[in-house]
Amino acid sequence: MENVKEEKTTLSKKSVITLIVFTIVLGILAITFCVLYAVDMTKLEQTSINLENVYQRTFYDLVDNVNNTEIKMSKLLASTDNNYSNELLLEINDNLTSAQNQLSYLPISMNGIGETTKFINQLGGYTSTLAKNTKSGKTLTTEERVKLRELYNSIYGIKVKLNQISTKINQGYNISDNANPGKEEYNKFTQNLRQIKNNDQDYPSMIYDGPFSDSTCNKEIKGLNFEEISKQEAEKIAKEIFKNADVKFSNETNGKFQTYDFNVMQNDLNLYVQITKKGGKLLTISSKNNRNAEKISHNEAIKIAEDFVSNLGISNMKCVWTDKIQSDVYLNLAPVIDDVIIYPDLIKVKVDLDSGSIVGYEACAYYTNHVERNLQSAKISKSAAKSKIDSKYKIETIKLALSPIEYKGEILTYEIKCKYQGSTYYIFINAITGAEENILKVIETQNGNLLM
Amino acid sequence: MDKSKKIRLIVLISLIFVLVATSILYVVLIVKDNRVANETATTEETIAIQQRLKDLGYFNSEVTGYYGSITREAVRRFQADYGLAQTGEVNSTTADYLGINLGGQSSNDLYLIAKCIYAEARGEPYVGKVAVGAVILNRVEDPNFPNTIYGVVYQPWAFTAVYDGQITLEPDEECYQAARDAMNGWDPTYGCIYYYNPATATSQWIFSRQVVTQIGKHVFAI
Repeated sequence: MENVKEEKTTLSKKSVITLIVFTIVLGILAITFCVLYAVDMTKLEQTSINLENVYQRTFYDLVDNVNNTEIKMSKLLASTDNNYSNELLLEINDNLTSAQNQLSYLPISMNGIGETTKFINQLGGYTSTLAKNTKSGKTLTTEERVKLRELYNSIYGIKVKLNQISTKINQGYNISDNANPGKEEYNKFTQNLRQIKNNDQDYPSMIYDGPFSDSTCNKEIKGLNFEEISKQEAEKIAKEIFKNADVKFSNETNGKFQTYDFNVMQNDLNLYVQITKKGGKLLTISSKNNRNAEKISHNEAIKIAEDFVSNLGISNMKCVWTDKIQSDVYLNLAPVIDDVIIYPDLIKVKVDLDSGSIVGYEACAYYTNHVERNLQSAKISKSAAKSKIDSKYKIETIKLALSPIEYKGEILTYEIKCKYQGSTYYIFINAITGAEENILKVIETQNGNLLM
Repeated sequence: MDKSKKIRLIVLISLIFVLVATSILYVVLIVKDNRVANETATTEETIAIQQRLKDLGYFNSEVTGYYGSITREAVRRFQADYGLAQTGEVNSTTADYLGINLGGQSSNDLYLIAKCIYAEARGEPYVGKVAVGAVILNRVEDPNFPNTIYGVVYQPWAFTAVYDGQITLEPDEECYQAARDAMNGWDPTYGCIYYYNPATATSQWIFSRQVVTQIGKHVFAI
């Protein structure tokens, strides 16, 4: 009996020791885990405070910009002086550009306040157009003043609602807490912001031809006045362009342009080819290039592109710009008529320098703008245009070009290519008035040349 | 008595096991997070480096855009021959000797679009990738959206891949090509500003948009 008892106590001693060891190990692990967790939670908390601070700062900046816009617009309505109006319009435009940025930084559900974003963008575009007008001496017309008064009322409405949300934030409203995407279409913060749109009144529409005007968004297609063709006819056209290729119908696209789309397998190339429903014109080829070696020269690539376009029945197209990136070369082709480059009618072609095949084609600009034109002749002589260039800039070429100038339309210009301190510039001088219309600088990047 | 001890022991061991496993997982996750954030050389730059090394005879493998041990070794040999510090990494001095341009201007936009395409549409056909790039650029022009490429890509909840962090993944060569095509004006959707996967889209609102076309799994709409 005694022996058994002793054994029992020694056993329990052993188990006590193991228990203690286990408890210690467990304790250490638990503490390590807790410390790690605590460190991470502190970091998380710090990050969310930082985030909230950024949101609030952005929001208050937005309120400031909208407040300033409202004040400056009321001053604008009071002003009758062209110079002062011009200054105000430029400042309003700056405020609205910043406001637009701030709106896009805030955690607003996508499309939650699309109307307001659009209104701010368009008001910015409108004021910048009016600023240009007043600068060239035009005073604001009565209609413009009536429109500005309407716009002022809308911006005043936005201001009032934004300032109500500011008060809420001052009382402890937290933007990040309200920005979690919940089950509803828009998060709470977005719902609060949505109220800034006047329910009973739509934003007034603005008619002008500047940035974000509806007229530039919905540009009319001028070059496709043809009968609509059938899918079968489109397939035939595709087979004619890509001889000995496997052509399979894939889909239809019914966007700004309407096309029949085909998958074309030619040799080892897989091309996505889009043919317009109107007139059966080749509009786009998209394809990946399995870039390898460069077997053909730059000039051969130009010839391949020009021949391809001319075989499609588009005449007078000449290569006006190339950009080589590894074994791809992008070529811009434009009609050259009576030595005038018609830039609006641009076609872009991508050629693979390994096989010499066409791996890309894009003619949207061509079919949007192409019409029969009666070109004006230049009123300014070549030498007069040259004299407009700073003498430090070394002139390399001078050509006549019909150029699409933003918000002004097509303008006959002299395109003067010149060099200064190793950089290349293209300067466009109006061939009728002699005004400087545009300057492009060639920027060399690791991804090819850019014109900016 | 013995039985309950055994049970206690088993419970203890499994508890310890769970704790150890969680801690390891925790540490691994943190380390992994940092590793993703530390990758800096872009695929495009690596391709340029590898191509140049190949031309000079230091690099005999295929140009992949992946900066691994083979590339590092080749860079080290190049640095040894030109009397540079043999780090295996291409800093600005090594880049100068290689004659390549690191961090040239304005490829940020291209890089961002390529990243967005990779994160959003890496399983899609090539033309579907170009289309996603085109949607980004169409939004920049649209008054309802922010006015810069960065503004559009980082607009809150505009792209799932930005929201869930996949945007930090390095794009492959094909996505660069697609981004370049889109920036050069290719738009197979002709003006679309939305796309969604009809099988996975959760927003009812998106189905109300006018469908323009379908490419691969994505429906494109205005």
